[in-house]
Amino acid sequence: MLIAVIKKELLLVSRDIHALLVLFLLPIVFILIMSMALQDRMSPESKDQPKVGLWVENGADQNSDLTQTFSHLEGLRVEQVNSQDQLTQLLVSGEILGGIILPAQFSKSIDSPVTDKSEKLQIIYAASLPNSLRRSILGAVREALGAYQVNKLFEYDDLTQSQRQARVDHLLGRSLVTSQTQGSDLESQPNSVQQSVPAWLIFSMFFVVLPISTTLLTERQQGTLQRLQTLPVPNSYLLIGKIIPYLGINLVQAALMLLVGIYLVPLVTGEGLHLVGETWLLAPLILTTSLSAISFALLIATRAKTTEQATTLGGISNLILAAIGGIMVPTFVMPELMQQIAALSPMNWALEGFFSILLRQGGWAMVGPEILKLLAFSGCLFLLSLYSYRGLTDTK
Amino acid sequence: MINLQHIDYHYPQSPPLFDDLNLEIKRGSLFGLLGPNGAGKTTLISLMTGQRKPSGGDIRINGETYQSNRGRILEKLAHIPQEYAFYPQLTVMENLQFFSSLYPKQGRQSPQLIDEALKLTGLADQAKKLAKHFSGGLKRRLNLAIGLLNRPELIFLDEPTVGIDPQSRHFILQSIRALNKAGSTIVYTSHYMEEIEQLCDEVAIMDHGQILVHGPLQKILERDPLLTIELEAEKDESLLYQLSDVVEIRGFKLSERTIIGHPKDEGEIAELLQSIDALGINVVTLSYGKHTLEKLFFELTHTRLRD
Repeated sequence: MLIAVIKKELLLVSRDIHALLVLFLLPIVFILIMSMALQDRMSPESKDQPKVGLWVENGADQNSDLTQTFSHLEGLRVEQVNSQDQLTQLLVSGEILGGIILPAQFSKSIDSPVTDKSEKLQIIYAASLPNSLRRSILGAVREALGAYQVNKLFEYDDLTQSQRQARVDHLLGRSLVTSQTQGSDLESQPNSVQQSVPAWLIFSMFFVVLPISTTLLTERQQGTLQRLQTLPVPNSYLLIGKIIPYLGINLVQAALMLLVGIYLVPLVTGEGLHLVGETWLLAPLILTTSLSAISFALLIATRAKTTEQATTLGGISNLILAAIGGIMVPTFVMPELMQQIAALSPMNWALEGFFSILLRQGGWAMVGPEILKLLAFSGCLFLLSLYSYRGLTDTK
Repeated sequence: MINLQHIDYHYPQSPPLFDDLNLEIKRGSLFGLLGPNGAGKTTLISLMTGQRKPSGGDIRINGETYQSNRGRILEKLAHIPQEYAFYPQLTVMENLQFFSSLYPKQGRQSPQLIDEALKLTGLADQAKKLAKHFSGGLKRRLNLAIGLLNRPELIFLDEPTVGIDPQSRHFILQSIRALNKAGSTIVYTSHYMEEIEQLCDEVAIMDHGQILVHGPLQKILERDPLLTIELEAEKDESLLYQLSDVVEIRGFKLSERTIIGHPKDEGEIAELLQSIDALGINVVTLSYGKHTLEKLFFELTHTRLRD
């Protein structure tokens, strides 16, 4: 009997093209678009790093060690330009904050004593650049130049590459300084893929509200529920028969979106989702997220009077939960008050659960509270929807 | 078969709809339930099918109550609501298989029962089609077919011929007769008086939550020969007002320019006609004798069923 109810629900949703688009196509599109859109802003390599231009004057060896040294400056994004005019243009337009001009004969200046005629490396700052950033650029250039010169000192020593690097690091003091971020020695902010894949997966899971409310309200409006009441079938079977197929649909969504994150997103953005840490915790997290989404959908479906009311209420509620829950806008860019409000959204609990596993590589101690919150939320909403459903179907 | 004794029922924050209502429907009968909109027919059916619980009184189906044996009653009962109570996105066969599977005791018999329902409703060649593409007539047949999946002993049919073509109506009425002949007890509501007259052997007319008349159809129609006089439409209201005094003294009713009543003899009819003539009002039609169901309904409820 229960299998028949489940089969019926699956047939109904499989023939609802709009529901399938919302549940499967919409999140894939969102994941791809948002991963691309946020790629620059959320990439740890590029985030908050000032961009500078490098002009290697005609005559200099483009592939020399010196050119390579200034192409990778610590804490800066370096873009090589083709002319001094282009460098000036980029500075004026604000696309780069500083410019470095590497003279053609600069290597000779390094090897010879410095005279008035020695060619010097030139740094040009954008007019409005604050002093702190000027110092950052100057520091990075001097550090790179120092490393190059120290490296040259060991050029004729019989040392391996790693031994030479160790000496350079020691002389520059690199091996004597360590740094870390307060609070965690792991990354605390997601990149665009780590944000987009779980966020839009959770969002799409909550959209089961559309097919669930449509089928339940159609049953009510067309008299099918009335007919079901005169059949020897317990009400609980009818409600459980709605939960199980959507649990399956949510699990398929989760598997599909994770695969999209791992295999499809890298083709578009160059960076994919990596399942690291205690990935087994994804199973209870996805399961409780699904139960929350289904219970939420059942409550709306049993309380709404018309399909239009349910789809409007369900759609708007999902958008609000997503907007405040860090789905649409990452919570780390929100002000503190909004971050506190975000913690009220079940979508945020699920998202934080994903971050705890994939980003912070946390175990049960870190993910467990989010899972328990989702479980409690789904339990409360299921009881409320069961009460509402009984109000619709029990003999009065 | 169905026995309702001293039934009380009221909707929340509403006055009582049923107050000490009694009704008996015999096994094997084809029972017509009539009443104007708001009379309480649908509520009465939902009480008899166990969808609602009376606040007082006793409902017995085959001697059993819903409280004591709901499952067993529902195993042999079918309610075919006025709405298309199935899934339009599923095919006829998928609908039948789903509803059939909700009768746990059918087991292996299920395919055979589905076949029977398809044959009886003439849907065998439509089994693989999606219900949403059906005409109103075919939808009504599917609605009926689903109700037959448990070979019900008791069938409640609520307006099964509303909004369909004459051919489908004829087919459905034939199917209902066949079911009744095969032994099913049928409780039938319809707005179409001629359907009830053609089909039913027993009727009840109800209004404002009361059973106004109940019994075998022929016996009801033959009771107290009825006089109906229809007056000309364009007449002064004051004349009709004077006439109403004359009519009411004699125990007749005047409503909507129609006089209805049960005269003692033909002499009383002649006296009434003289009074009408004296006021200068013309008679358009006059009938006297056996009731038709429509006239009886009008007499009892002062409304026409299709109002």
